[in-house]
Amino acid sequence: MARSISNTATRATARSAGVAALLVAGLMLVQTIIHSAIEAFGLLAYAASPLTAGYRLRADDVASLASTATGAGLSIVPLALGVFLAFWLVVPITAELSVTRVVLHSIAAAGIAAAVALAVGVISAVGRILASAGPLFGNAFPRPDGSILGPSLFEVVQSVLFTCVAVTPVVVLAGLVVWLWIARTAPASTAPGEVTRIP
Amino acid sequence: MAQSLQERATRANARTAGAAAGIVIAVVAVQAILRAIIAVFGAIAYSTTGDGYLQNVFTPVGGLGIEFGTTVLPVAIGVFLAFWLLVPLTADLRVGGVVLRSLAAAGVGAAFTLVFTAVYSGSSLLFGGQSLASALFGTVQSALYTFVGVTPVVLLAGFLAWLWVSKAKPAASAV
Repeated sequence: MARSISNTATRATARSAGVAALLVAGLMLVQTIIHSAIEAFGLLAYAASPLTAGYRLRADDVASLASTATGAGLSIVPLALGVFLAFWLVVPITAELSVTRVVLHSIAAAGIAAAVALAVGVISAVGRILASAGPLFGNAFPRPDGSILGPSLFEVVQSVLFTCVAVTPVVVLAGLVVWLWIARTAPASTAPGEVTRIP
Repeated sequence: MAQSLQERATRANARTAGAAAGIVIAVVAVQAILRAIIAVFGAIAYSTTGDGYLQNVFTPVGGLGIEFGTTVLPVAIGVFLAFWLLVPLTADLRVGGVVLRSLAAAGVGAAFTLVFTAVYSGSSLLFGGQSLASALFGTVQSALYTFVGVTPVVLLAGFLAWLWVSKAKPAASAV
């Protein structure tokens, strides 16, 4: 029988959901930092190399790198929040699940996390457009620029879809690790590799 | 005592390594295809706003072949060889051991990417496609990016293959 959200939302599932969300956020943060470091060292090496004598490092390159890294770092927050909510309220990870179920729950959690990230992205894009100043009363009132709304939303949707594709294996990995962690504290009958199912 | 390469190269290790490499190739290939589809649909949607160019819509599909040749295939080969001959996944491993072995396998996969990308960049150098500097830096950067991107997938494949091996020997699967 399907369980209601209030039945699912226990303190135990909140703890395992929190661990999974922290794992996802931590892994993505490490990936973002290493990615930015590779890019920064690549730029420095390219500028310092005798093979590229004509190339000079510009402030624009550094600003673009910093902006990309900040954007990638900030995008982790809604994804981690989505993973937490999904594993806590919708598709909890419990010791009784089989490996296949854990993978399916994790894929669902990645989808929910992407939906949360999409909602946050759309709200912030619309907010940015609404905040653009209009000509009325010395630019005192905001005036939405409708011509940039479409491209901005395309950009947000595309970016979230790319992130969803990249983050799904990370969420499945976090789900599996949390499941192994729960199974360690559960009775011997639910040890990983020895699967029991809820009747 | 450390096992020799010949002792590790068993049929059982090859089967586990094949399963892990199969998971890696499936996930990385699906990711590459989905990224290309998203890019194509994005380009089509963008071209309707008047800011994009419709003739560039299928560029991501063309890049898919290069990505398969320089990333997907080398990573899968590297992961298979690593899990088969260097760091096999056995039922008596602990979680920490699986993580370390998977990281090593991801490193070998990235090393294979470096070789394959170097061959590709070398051929494009011959035909004047790019400069020596950009080929050199691009190749090293590409291998490093691949390592960062593919590590969670290899960890996932390592865990799934280990759970599969442990299923045959539940008593030995100490977490």
